[in-house]
Amino acid sequence: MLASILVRLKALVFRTRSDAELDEEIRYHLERETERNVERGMDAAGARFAARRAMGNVSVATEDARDSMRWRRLEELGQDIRFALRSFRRAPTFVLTVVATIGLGLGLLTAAFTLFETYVLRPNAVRDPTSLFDVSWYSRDGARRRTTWKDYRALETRRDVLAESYAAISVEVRVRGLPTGGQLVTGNYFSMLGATPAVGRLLRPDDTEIPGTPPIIVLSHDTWQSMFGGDSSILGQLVPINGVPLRVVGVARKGFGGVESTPAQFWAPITMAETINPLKEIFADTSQNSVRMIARLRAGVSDEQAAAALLTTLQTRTLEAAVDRRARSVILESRATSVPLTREVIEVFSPLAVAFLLVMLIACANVANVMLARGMARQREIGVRLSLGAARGRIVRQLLTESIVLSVPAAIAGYIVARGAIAFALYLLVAKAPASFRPFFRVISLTMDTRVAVFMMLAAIGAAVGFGLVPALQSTRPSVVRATRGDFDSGMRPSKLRSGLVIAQVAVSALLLICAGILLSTARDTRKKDPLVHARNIVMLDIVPRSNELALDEIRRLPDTRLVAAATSAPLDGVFPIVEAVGSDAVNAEVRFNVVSPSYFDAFDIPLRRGRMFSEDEGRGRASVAIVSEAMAAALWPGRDPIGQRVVLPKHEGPLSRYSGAAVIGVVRDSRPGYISLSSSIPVVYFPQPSDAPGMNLIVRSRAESDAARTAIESAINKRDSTAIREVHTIEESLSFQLYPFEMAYFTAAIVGGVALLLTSTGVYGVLAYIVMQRRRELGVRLALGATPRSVVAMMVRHTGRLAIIGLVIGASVALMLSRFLGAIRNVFNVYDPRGFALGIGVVLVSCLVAGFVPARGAGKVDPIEALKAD
Amino acid sequence: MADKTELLQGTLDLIVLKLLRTGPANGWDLTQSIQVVSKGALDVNYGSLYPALRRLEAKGWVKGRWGVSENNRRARFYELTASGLKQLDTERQAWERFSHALGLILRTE
Repeated sequence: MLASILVRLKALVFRTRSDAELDEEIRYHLERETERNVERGMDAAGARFAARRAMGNVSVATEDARDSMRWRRLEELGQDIRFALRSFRRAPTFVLTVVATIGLGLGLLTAAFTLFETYVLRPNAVRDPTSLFDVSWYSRDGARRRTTWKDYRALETRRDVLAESYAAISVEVRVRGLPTGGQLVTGNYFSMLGATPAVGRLLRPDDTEIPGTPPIIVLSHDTWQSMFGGDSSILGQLVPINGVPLRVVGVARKGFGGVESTPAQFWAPITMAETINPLKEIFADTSQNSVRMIARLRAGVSDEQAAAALLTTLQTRTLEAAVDRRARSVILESRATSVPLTREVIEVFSPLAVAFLLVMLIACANVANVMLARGMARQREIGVRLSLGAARGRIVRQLLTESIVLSVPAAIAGYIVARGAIAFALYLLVAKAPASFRPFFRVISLTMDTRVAVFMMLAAIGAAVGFGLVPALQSTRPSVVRATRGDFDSGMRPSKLRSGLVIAQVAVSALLLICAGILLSTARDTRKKDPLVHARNIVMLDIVPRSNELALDEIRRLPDTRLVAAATSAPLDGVFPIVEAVGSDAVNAEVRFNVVSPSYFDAFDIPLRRGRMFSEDEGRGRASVAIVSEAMAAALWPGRDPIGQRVVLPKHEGPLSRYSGAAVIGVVRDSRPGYISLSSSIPVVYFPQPSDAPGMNLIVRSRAESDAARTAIESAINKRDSTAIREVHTIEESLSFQLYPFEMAYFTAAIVGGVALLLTSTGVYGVLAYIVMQRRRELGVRLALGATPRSVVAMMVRHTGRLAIIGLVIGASVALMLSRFLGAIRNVFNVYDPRGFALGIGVVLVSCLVAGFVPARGAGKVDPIEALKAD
Repeated sequence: MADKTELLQGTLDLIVLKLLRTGPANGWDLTQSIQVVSKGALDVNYGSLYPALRRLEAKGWVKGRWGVSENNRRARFYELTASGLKQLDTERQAWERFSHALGLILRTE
């Protein structure tokens, strides 16, 4: 056995020698056979020929003989790789094209996968992350709520379902001038998450017993390294947080960042919350401010069981509350990974994943096309090898090896592209992010780990087999005789396959660009249609009721204040509440309402369409009059004059009931009832109230720029009462915050669509160029018979047009079909937006025609004489 | 030439082993022996003889070495090894069992 292995090894290592020996043996045999034939009276040439014929097909037999060696595969692989490298040296452009194309597709796909992997697949680096859940609840009015401190204290005692839980408040502050995100946590935070210190100690349960103490802080390892340069004397240093000096007691171990989607940079005791942020009451019995509750379920308790148990506690606690504020259900969201894998996450990620996958497929189709063309060009070579006795399987294997050899540099290129794409994406995220978003992006580290590497390898090999197999089978099919003659297009339909690939590419890029088109037109709509979106120099404040008068007084006294308005619901923030309204013909509709001061419409420049605005008296007297949006007028009084009609609110009791039966005095232009993602064509009714009613959102239109105005207002009010302001923000912040996701979505779609289009255009170009080359002779004949170059070019362009139109029809139909499934985002995007479709289809069609025109022009320049002489 | 018999699959190894039992021989000698012994009835594809020799050598049943042929040229001579001898016995018995069984089947009416 050992001996036989040695023989095989020897044969493998000294293959060339061994082959030479075989050749020599065979030569000897042929000589003897020839000699014998001569002895028998044949002439020299006949004798040699007879000897050869008796020998049979030596090369097939030799391959067969090698089959007996188990090492054959290995040996062939080495041979194929050497052969592939040799043939690539002769065709550098081909290699470059393939590597760049696959690298681009693979790189984008990997970048997307890295993002997904980092947030959704990688478990949080804490002890037993799968049993950790974020606790929130729904009240009967459908609002999602977080727990207050008191709720948390009540819920954490449910030891029948919860092993342990902690409460945390996220804070965004500046440390050494840099925006920094930290968490104020209960003392059991670190022990519950199984964290250990790198230096000093972490927070302990006894740290969070008395509100207002102790002024200590724990830094994350990253913060310690980046902000304090890994200072070894860090313990005992004072770090001011919101002006409150906190003493550093420790640094958490490297890599620990908690369970939020962005790692915390520091931790302080939750008992310091009111000291750090005096405006925010946490511990008072009446406080409505929320804390984040993270619970660890007891082993063996399912999340449904736990949710049901926690709900009973919450229901008891909210028994006294207004009906709509009572608890309806408890939501437990897994914190095993940064972003829980919920339905919403899958819905958001899957179109993205599909888009990137499609780009990858386009890239593969392109490469398959290039490979096919190369296969055609090598037809003669392959034909000769087949006729010399090489087995078809052997040649297919060899062509596949070529593809796989190509996939290695392609994977490397993909890796570089992925790094670049991630860096660019992060740059874009940060550059485009509103100022208040930026701290979130600074610390995300998107590293490519083993899982990403494995993913890339699999994708690269999958692509290699995908783009290599079909052309390999295709080009080894011809009969030996025809191939050696150089005649291979009869009976083979590679052009059909290539056209199919182009149609698929066109379809995919049309689909992607239609999506980009829809996103673009939505983004434009959000910016254009609504006067609210153009509002500038507006500061919005939420003032504690008792200080309302004082705050208004200070604001009015500021020289830059142009006007002050008030509204129960702040625009561009949250959603206006719903009320059922009945029009005159008993048409009833769910509409959204807002109770506003007369100056509200002026503050936002919402234009009046008909009738008049509220008068100051109507505001002060809360008169039973109403102003409706155009959409509301159309919904309740279609085709009639809304002015003078009455808005009846049949079901409403409480403060709103006074407005039931209000007479419509004016119609204003449509604007969104809250967040920018809402449609501006939702019906809205406005009722009057005075601007100094307490508990309202104050809207200050200033002559100064928002940021300056906010600073002035804040300091003026704080001078009198530093606890008056609950919340203050500028309209620009609010807008950029909400527009940001749209812009990101649009950018992503545009970039992905652009890459797809680029690949498709080159694909179209390649196929057309190839067809022109293949039909050169026929074109020459046509030209010789009197066809004008123009008509020949037109013929080729028509061909491109045909492919493009078939692809576009398929792409658009798929887009229409997909639209039906995108229910989740239909509220935000008009998925049937005709402009989006027109844009996508138009761009693809034009690019295809341009890409096809260049080689088509070459068709008109074919010299008939040359073309006919060629064969 | 018309009544030449195609070689049964797998029998070439047996033939080569049997012929080498009488002593070392080169490829050409073997082809001649096959012709002579079978009285020209067997049609051996010489192209498959050499690969077969390779195969037998790889399995360690024959051993090849370069020598000088009777017309003073370099030729490769093969001789049976001990394990080749054993293999010959095994294969011969197998063949005899097979041909006996086949004979029985063919004789029954």
